[in-house]
Amino acid sequence: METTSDTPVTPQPDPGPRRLTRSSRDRIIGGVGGGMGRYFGIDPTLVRIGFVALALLGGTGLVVYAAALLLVPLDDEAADAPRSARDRGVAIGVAVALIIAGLVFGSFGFLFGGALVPLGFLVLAGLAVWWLVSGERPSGSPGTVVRRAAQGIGLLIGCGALAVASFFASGLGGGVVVAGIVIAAGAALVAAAFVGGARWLVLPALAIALPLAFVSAAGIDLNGGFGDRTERPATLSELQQSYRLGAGELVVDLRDLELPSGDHPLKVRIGAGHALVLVPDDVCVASSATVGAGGVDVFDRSGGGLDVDWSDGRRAPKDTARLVLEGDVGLGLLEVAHNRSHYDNDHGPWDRYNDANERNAACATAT
Amino acid sequence: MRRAREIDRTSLVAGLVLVAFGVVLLLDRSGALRLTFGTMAPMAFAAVGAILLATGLGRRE
Repeated sequence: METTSDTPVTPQPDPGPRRLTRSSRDRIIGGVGGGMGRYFGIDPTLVRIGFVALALLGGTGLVVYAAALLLVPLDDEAADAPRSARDRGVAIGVAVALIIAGLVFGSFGFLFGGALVPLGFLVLAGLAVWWLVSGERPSGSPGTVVRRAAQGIGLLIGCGALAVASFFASGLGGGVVVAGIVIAAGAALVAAAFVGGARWLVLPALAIALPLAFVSAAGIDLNGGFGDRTERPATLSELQQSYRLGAGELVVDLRDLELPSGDHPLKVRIGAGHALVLVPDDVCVASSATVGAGGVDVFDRSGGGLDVDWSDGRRAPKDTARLVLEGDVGLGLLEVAHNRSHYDNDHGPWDRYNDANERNAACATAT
Repeated sequence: MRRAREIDRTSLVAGLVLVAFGVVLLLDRSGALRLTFGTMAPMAFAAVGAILLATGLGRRE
């Protein structure tokens, strides 16, 4: 006897191919790691570690992450209707722009190794700025993400311009005014806090305050001109006691000078850049200097870092000239040498330490 | 009855920090203080950190 079931067999609907989506729940930035971990059935933390490792090894991780952020939909969106033509257009536009950038920049080796890494950091920085200012996560459709990144980058560029202006204004003696602007911005923020707030003002105010803080800490004084300057006194009467430059390279070349025995004070002051003092072989140099950020190289001795307080007191034998050098450098390097060629060769300035001529040999004893 | 408008703590904290930071910078620029990286860097980091902290805590509420 043959038996049959009364209940009809209803075919299960075809779930279709599994779709890669960004996770809206398990996410740190855009849910790419969470979505990929779910798709491949692995711990999302491992995916994130992989992205970070790839970002450090040539920057590919940044590119892949940015592409996934733009092209892979959020899981909420996956259940909805297909993305709008506008968002798809934005994603395609970004992809085309990247390809054109690749053709413009030439080899992909340069592209992935060089240009795209800062570009990726710039996009992430734009998104971070947006997040800081608006308080909203950089998620949503590709068009929204691109728009927010662009707004963040725009704000970042504006703040960069403010920072440059603040640096130069502070260095040129306008520090009191700049500090007043910072205080006024702070007061405006306090007042705005009671009428809804003005968080957008925080970043520009910091962009003004931090360069001023840097100028103050380093003691940078940009007065005295900009550019490269070479001073080459030929006689003792032409030798000034003080040379000064705001920013650039200042070379004080004393090698044509016949200095009589005794002490000869010389002050060299530079706000930002490189100061080089060239002295004859038969002159002893005693030096002291303050450097905000940078270093001091006096023949075969050197020092550097932040808040550098340099002192190299030397005594000269009788009947020997001694140059008593006092340096003041805000940001940069103060160097003393016998020969400039050490700075112009292909081996760099460190090659000087192998040269027996680059010694403070005219001095009697080292203290 | 009209409700008092809520205070934006992020703006308030950031504003107070900036005023204090600006006063220190003003004293340095006017010659009353002499700041170095050793003193300025902790202050700058503390200022930025306080603002970020206020921003982060403000979002949680």
